[in-house]
Order: sequence, then structure tokens, then C-alpha cells
Amino acid sequence: MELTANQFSQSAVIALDDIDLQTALDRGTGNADGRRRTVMGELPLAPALRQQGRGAKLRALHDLPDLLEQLERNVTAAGGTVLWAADGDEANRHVLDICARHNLKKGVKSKSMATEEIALLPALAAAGIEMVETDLGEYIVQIDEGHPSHIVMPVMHMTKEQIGALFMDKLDMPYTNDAGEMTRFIRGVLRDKYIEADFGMSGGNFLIAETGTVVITTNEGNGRLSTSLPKVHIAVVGIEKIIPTWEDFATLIQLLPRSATGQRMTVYVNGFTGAARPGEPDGPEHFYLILLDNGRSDIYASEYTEALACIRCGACLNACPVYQNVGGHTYGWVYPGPIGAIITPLLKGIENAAPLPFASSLCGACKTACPVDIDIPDMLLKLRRDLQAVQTPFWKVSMAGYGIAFSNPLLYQAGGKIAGIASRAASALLGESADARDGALPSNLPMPYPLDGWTQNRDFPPFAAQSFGSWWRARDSSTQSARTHHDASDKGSDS
Amino acid sequence: MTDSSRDRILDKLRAARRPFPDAPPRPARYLPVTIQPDESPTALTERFMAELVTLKAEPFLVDGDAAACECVMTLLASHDTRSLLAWDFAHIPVSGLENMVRAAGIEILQADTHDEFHAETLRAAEGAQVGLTGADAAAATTGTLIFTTGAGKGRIPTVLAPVHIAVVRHEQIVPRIESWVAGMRARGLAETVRQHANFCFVSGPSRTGDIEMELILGVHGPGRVQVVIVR
Repeated sequence: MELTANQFSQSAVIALDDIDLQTALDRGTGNADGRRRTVMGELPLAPALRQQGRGAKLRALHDLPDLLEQLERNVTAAGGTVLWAADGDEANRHVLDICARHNLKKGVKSKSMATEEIALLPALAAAGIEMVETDLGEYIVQIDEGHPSHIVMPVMHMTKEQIGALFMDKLDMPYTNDAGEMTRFIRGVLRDKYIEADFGMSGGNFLIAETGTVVITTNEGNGRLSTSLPKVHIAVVGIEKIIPTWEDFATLIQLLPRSATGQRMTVYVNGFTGAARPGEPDGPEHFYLILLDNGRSDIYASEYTEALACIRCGACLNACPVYQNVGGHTYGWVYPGPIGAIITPLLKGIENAAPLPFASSLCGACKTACPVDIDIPDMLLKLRRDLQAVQTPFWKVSMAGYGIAFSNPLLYQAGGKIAGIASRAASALLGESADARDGALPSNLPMPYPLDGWTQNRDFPPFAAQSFGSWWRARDSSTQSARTHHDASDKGSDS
Repeated sequence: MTDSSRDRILDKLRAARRPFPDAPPRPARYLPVTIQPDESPTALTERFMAELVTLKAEPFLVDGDAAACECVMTLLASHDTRSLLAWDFAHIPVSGLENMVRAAGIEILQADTHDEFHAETLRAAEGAQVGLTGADAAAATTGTLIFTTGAGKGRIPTVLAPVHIAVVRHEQIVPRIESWVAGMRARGLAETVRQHANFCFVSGPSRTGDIEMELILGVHGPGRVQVVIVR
């Protein structure tokens, strides 16, 4: 999808004025965050369990290259095929090659952020291959020709009234705002798609290295149908999804739904170890695992490795006061919310997502909600620092000057005086009121280029007639004698 | 092409300084996520049934094979079952059930999709009113049915029909997910896992909250999951 992260401010203003979006976000995020708190709260050992889950992910990252090779050996031994993709284009080419090899024309797909990231659907469509999203939310996004706004709940940006209108428009369903009726209707629409599909696709929530097992989770059962009925299964999974052992899996597979939707378990946890064995009555005859890098190895080598520990539960989105108000599309790419504000700059270049590290109050709700305790606020701060390296020369020179002026008292005082005179002169020229010039009711001054960006979004009142420094010195001399007397009496009472 | 990407990715990861050298070592004993102090068979059965109810699944506790068969037949009748998508009855842990199902005139489909009649087989299977299976195990604290695939144990009967009936013996109920993993570890985990192409945890009926987080059951998988527990 097109990257529009640099338009964050403009998109946010539109989102905040969108009554339907605000309604949908209020219903969605409030619900999800509340349920997470409830089911995490019922675990007396929750803090230790978070560290246990975090430990599993950190060990996995420490040993990442070795574990990937172990995984590859085990998938291959189980009759599967492992393909490696340096970027999205290569991953899509692998999928198209597999389609050509097995003459695959129609696919069904379980929800996956990785395939969203590599823009798989447009690549398949260009090759004339039909692919149907089977997750209810993703199917709605697909017929709406839109993009998911949440990594777990794709249509968190839509009200049921909007979805009812969409179904009426695209599927000729009589209008209803009843979620149950809409859901049953889609069940019927997608049944034939499962049966006619030549191949099924999925992402992966976990890759268990010690056995070569790919795990996906769905509540609807679409993941199990998409991977059980067709003769070919292709999974596209980021390399950071690897975990070492089944014990690690047993911990994380329970922390994930509790954090994501406030469920104690996802309804279907489905694990694949290669292709169907001889004698098994169903399941894919061919199993392909495409391991996707697409910038992850760069993150691995950076100081932001911890971002790769994310298990994509979405808890930080639901807990974030910024996400709760602006929604997912405002972040301008596949991964929204606090974790998206880190991943998008890292994967797409910080200069292409400059506002995202600032789309946070640094309140820390994201870190508190994270089931593997990722220090999101710290990484956002580091990204703000990194952004300096790509800022305009003018900005860099200005900030350097600011630093010198503010660390030198004489320069600071002189600067203050000049700024005060200049701002009052400007306000006089612009015909500001007498009140404003006196400082009683400061009004706004528009700044000239190149400082005009500052006053587009902020007030810049004229300076007061008397600076704080001169007021303080005047006050200091008039109260000197009184203070000396006071100090003396204090000492007297102590002794 | 593929090989070069593989090597490039692995080389790049190896060239980086290893992150998290202070990561905690693999625990000798992992903390279990859920709490179940009383692990007696009676307590586990009670907990499993309570969790199923919370998940909007329907548990039925029966004593002995005859009662279990009767319970399954009553359930099949209540769904007006004419066509049943089933595991091989050797993997459904009560004796005499297959004969009763046949005597009731219910068509038994044991769909094998690995032939040229793939779509036809699936279309016939899709017409079944009920899927009937056993289970490999059940985890009490999360109300989870655990399935692995094998000869006579397909994936489709657990997910395609609008109703899924699973028959489990009460001694198959383990305390929690971690207990099932520990069991495999004790038997030799790598070999045990590799025997089956697929495992699946099923916790309650298919559900969605995609439309404004409103809970709707039976999206793509079964809207009703009925579990007959045989004591």
C-alpha cells in the first residue's frame, strides 16, 4: 500500500472530524483494551509470565540465524519446501512461481500482515490469479478496496452501519445493521470459494524452530479451512516470528489472545509441520514456507532489534491515546499504532515517516500493555534523535544556534531583548490591539519563512514588555532587605 | 536466486553483533499460564466443562459407552442429521457407535480429498449437518480440544460442518496446554510432532468480533461445539 506516513498531521485532522470513525474507534479500542486488562488481571503471575514470554523472544533473536537454519532443516525433513525472500518482490515472485508450477488459479487466504506488507494481492491480480480474503474483516476490506486499520481487527475504522451499506452496494444484500445477519451472509458467500480453491495462503504467528512447525491463529475457522481444503498451502512469514521451543510456544500462544482480544485462547490454533502425511485423508499435498526478510535483517543489525520481539497482538494500539483518536489509517502504512510508529520508519526509511515517532505522548501505556514488555517509548525517543540526521540544514543550524544561545547567559539576555523588541514592532506593524502590545491579551504573530511552519499549528504571542529577567532583578533588589531579616529570624528559631 | 537470498540474509544476520547477550536462559521450569490447584480427574472434568460453557460450547458428561452412544445419537437426531462427516470410528473412543449411526440410516462421509475428485468430495462433505470426531487430548483450564492428524483423522470433520461433536474420555483431560506439550516432550517431542502434518487447538465454537467487536458464533467453522465426556 502507498506510504503516506509523512501526511500524519493532515490525516489526523481529517480523522478527528470523522464522526463515523470516532464512533467505531470508541466502540472498538475501548472494548479491546478493557477485555485485555480483565483477562491479564486474572493471572496472579502475569508480570513473571510477561518476562517468560519476553525471554523466549529475546533468546530467539540472540540465536536468530541458527534457529532459522534449524527451522529450515525441520520443515524440509517434514516434506515442506522453504524459500527465502530478501524483499516483497521476491516473496511475490516465489508465490507466482509456485502458482505456475502447480497451475494454481484460485486461492483463499487467511489474514496476514506480512502479505499486506508485500502487497501480495495486487501482484496476484496482475498475474490473473484470484485470491479471496476469508477473514470477515479482511474480506470487508477487500470488497471495500481499502486497507486494514488494525493488525488484529482490520475494520476497526468502520461502523456496522457502513458495513451494511457496503454489503448492499457490493453484494446486493438487503440492508441491515445486524452483525449476525451480515456474518451469516458472508459465511454463505465464502463457502464456494473454499471448495473451488486450488491453494490456500496464510501468514504465521509463530515458527517453532525445534520441529519446523508454522503456527497460525484464527477465531473464525477460516485459517483452518483455507489450509485444510486446498491441495497447496503457502505460508509467508517474517523471519522474526521464530521461537526456539514448544515450551516457549505454550507460553506465548496464551499471552497472545489475552493481549489481542482479551480471550483466554484463540478458537483455532493451527500448526503445520510440512505437507500431509501418507494416509492422512485431507490437508495440503504441497507445503511451502516463504521466509520474508524485507528489511528485518537491517532492524536486526540496528539498535532497534527489540522491535523484532513484537508478536503483533495489537495491545499497544488499543491502549494508545493517539491511536484511540486518529485510528490506523492515519499512520499511513501497514503497521499502525505505537509499534507501527517504530516499524514503519525502520522498514520504509525515517525520512518517509518523520511524524510517526512524534505521534506519541510518551505516556508509556504501550509498554505497560505489551505482553513481551517492549520498550516502545524508549525507541520512539531514539527515533526522534535519529531524525536529526535527516533534517534540513537550516533546521540543524537553527537548533545548534539555539543550543549556544541558551547555554550562554549574556547571549540569552541579549537575544531575549532583541526578540522582545522585534516581536512588539511586528505586532505594531500588523495592527495588533493595544491590549496585546501590553502583553495582557497576547494574540498570534505569523512568522516569516522559513519559520512559518511553526506558526501554522501553534500560537506565537508577542513578547511581554518587560522580560522575566529584568522583572526578577528589580524584585530582587526591592526585597533584599526583607529577605535578610527573614533569614535571620529563621536561624533564631532553629537554635 | 533463492540460494543467494538465503545466504545473503543469513550472512547479514551473522555479521551483526548478537543482540541480547543478557537474555534470560531457558527456564528449567516454565511457569504455567493458568492456575488449576486440584488436578484430580473429577476436578479437571469440572473445570473443563465450566470453561466449555464460558466459551459457549456445550459439554455432556456421561457414564459408560452405552450412555455415550445414546447421547451422541440424541444429539445427531436433534440436528436432523442425514449426512455425517466423521473420523474413522476406531479413533472415536466409544464402542458400538458406528453400528448405531448406520442403523439410524445416517450417511457416513469419510472424505478423502487426495484424489482427482477433490471438488466433488468437498462439495459432498460440505452438505453434512454434523462433524463427528474423537480428540487427542483436552486441556481443562482453557476448554481446549486438541487434535492431531493421521490416517482416519482428518482436519475437515473438525471444521467444515455447522455442528462439531467431539467424544473424549475423561482420562484424556490434562490440566492445561503446557501439560500436553510436557507429555510430548516426555515421549520424544521431535518424533511425536513429526508424525502428524497438523495439530489444532480448538477452544469453543467459531466466532468473530470483526464488526464492532460484537460476538457472533459460527462464521466459517462450526457455530456449535458439543463435547461428550465419557467417564
